[in-house]
Amino acid sequence: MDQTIALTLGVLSSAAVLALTAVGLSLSFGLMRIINLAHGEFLTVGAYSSVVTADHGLSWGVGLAAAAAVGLGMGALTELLLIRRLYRSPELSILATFGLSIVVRQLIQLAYGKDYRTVANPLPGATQVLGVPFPTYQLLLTGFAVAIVVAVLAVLRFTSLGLRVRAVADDAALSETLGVPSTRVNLVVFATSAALAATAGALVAPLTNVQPDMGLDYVFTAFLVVIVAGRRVAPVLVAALGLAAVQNLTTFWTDPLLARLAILVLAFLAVQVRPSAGFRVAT
Amino acid sequence: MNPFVRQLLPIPLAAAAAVLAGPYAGGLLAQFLVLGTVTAALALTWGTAGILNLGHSVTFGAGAYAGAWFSLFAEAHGGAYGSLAGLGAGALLGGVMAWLIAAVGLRRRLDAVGFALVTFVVALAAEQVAGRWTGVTGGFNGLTDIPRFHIGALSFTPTAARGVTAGLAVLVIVLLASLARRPYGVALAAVRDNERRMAALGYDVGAAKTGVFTFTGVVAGLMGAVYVMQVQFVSPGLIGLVMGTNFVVWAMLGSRRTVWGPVVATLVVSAGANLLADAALDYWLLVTGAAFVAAVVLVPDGVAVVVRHRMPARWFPARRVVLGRAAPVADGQAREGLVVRSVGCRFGPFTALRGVDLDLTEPGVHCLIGPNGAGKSTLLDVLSGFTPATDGSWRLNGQDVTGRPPWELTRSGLGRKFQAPSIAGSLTLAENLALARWGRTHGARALVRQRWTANLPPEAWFVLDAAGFADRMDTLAGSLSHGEQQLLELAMTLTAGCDVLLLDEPTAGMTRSETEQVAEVLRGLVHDHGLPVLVVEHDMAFIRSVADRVTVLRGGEVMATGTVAEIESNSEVSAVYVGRAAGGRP
Repeated sequence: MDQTIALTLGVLSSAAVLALTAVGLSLSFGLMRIINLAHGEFLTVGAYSSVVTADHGLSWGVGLAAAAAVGLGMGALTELLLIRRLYRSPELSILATFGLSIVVRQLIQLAYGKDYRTVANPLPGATQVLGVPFPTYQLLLTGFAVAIVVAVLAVLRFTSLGLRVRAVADDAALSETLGVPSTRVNLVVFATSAALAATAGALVAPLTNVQPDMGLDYVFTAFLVVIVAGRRVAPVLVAALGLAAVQNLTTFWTDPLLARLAILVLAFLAVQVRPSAGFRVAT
Repeated sequence: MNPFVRQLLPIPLAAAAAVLAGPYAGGLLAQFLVLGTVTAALALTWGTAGILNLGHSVTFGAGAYAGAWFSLFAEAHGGAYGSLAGLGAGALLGGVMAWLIAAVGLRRRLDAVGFALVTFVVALAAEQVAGRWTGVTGGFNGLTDIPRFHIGALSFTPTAARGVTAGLAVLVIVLLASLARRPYGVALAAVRDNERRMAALGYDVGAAKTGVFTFTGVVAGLMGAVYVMQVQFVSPGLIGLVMGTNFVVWAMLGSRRTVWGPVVATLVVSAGANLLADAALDYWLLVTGAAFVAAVVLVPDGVAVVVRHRMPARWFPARRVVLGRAAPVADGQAREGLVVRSVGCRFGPFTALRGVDLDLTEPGVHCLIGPNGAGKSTLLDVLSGFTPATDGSWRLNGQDVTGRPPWELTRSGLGRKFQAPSIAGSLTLAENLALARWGRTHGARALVRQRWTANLPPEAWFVLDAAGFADRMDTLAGSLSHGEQQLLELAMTLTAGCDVLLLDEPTAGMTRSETEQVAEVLRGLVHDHGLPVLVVEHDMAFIRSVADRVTVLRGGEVMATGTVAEIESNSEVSAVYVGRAAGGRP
């Protein structure tokens, strides 16, 4: 029984991290049709932001805010300098973000070296959940992730900004004729997406080794979540939960490598089965 | 000198240098040549066929591991043919993996961006498998001391082994360059430009893409095995995303639309990375990444294309395509035409077509009219296989062809012209027409063997002569005016040949005289070739001049069928168009 509870908690907290890393990706892909291969590097930058603030003796909360701000700025800059010029070709935008990811990785490596860094856990210790001890920080992280994803969904569904964002996603040209500045809306969406990635990076930093290529580990599963969820943001939570369950349970019974392959296979099965998956050619 | 030979000349020279230079420099050069070959293979799938593959390293690395494993296994068990087994296994494994990736992605109609993402994820997964499956791959440390290339007891000196490596690389590069120039490569480029048109010409587009992806997988796998026999070491780095990134960067910088550009870019960038080694390597990678981003934004066609535009044009003469006149097709065979019975099509809750019956069994022009949204284009899309029907059936020449894919329908004798002009814009008129000629008859192998000559049927020449295309065959089809593109597409449809012709607004965007030419072509097709033709049209003057029968579609259902006179006097029909209530009451 205790083991079941521990496993469930593990799945929930992995799903939360997954959803957190995937929600920004899903914003830029679902709403702007931009596959951002530099998303993992935005996450890395967020993690390094929290490392740097910690080096200066600032608190963990400041690090989180700094990460979000750096992400927002980087995202806005990327949109202005690269993405904006490449809307006409999804292929070129993939390539540009692909190149950007190389540049960011190299810059981090030049600035901070190849060795890994760590961030002190702000909430060490464990909390009793249904009689099972569970790391307090992971509980906080789970709550944070759910709150962020729900907030993003709420903004999209219930605010006038969300309405404009959805209108541009549906038909940018038509929205322009209705007075919605589509380029500005896209700038906001992309910058938000980058800020979410950086926030996720700062949030996972205390649990992992912070190193220049850490983003790749997270982005692998995040992309799988987006592949399963398709072009909509809401299914991200469900997809994250499903993939996290398969990954954690396979790891528990066999080994981490098979778990990675299992979620890969699961994602491909989902693409095969779902007739309305977001990637299909619309003919 | 033959321009093809001149373009590729630097590559055998580099190979010769690889053999002659000392073991260190020569070895590196041979190694880079092999990587250049693999990049050139990526250029064929990506640049020519338009399939972006971010995980090209997966097949290369799989081939490398297979080559290493078989060489080591044979050595440990006293086998003499480990190298050959390794090369074979590398090619096979590369091909199988590429086929699997293509089967998951391309066959299921993922779009180009979705497929690129799949290849990205596969590359990430492959590196982890290679790093952790220690029993076979040696884990993160990889496999070392792989025997050099050898055959039986015949052992090669390091210089001779370098010769084998460089020679194989040159051979493969020449093969790839030659494939890209042949009708096979040009047909792939046309698929990249306009997939629907190629399907409607009779090309099995899905098989073509899967085929080229698998073929380049075989090449990458083979060269992976060659690579490990040269460097005698394999590690997860060869299979992962960083390597995949390298191939894409090299192909992009060199220019993915050529074969020699990516090879040169690979040699230059790899040599730079090697010369700068340790301290400056990080800066070099940074500069390469920044150059890549700049290339994407500023010169998306790549440096080679820019360089090529600065060289004398006579170095790159246009391809000479010989278009002949075929004898008229012998008529008199009994054709049964197209019989459509109660075809329906729904998109979710929306019913686009319901219970449509149509007979195109007699020679004649049958016009399909109706208000916007009546389902005219949807009906043509359903009948030619681009949109699945949810109900009903249709027979072509007495054969049930319900639900067949577009290319099969074309090969069974259905011709289709789209509403928006649909041609391969980056190819010349002559190339478009030649490809149209081969669609119904040629598979991949026939396209590789085919020479650049094609005989077009008289009805295609009639359109081409009327449009004045005969002396403009070497211009790019994309530079034609809208009306001219319509005429070219009509000529292509006629070149492919058909027993029943479906035309979607063939005169849209045409001048009065072009419209009259089309009307004359249609009358000729009916009179001389006995073709049943279905035409979607709005222009009543055109309809009066060509139509033998008219069918009115409204809200997805057939409202009336009859001669022009009958339809024009039908009060229900005029009510739909003019807006009066049925029965003539105000």
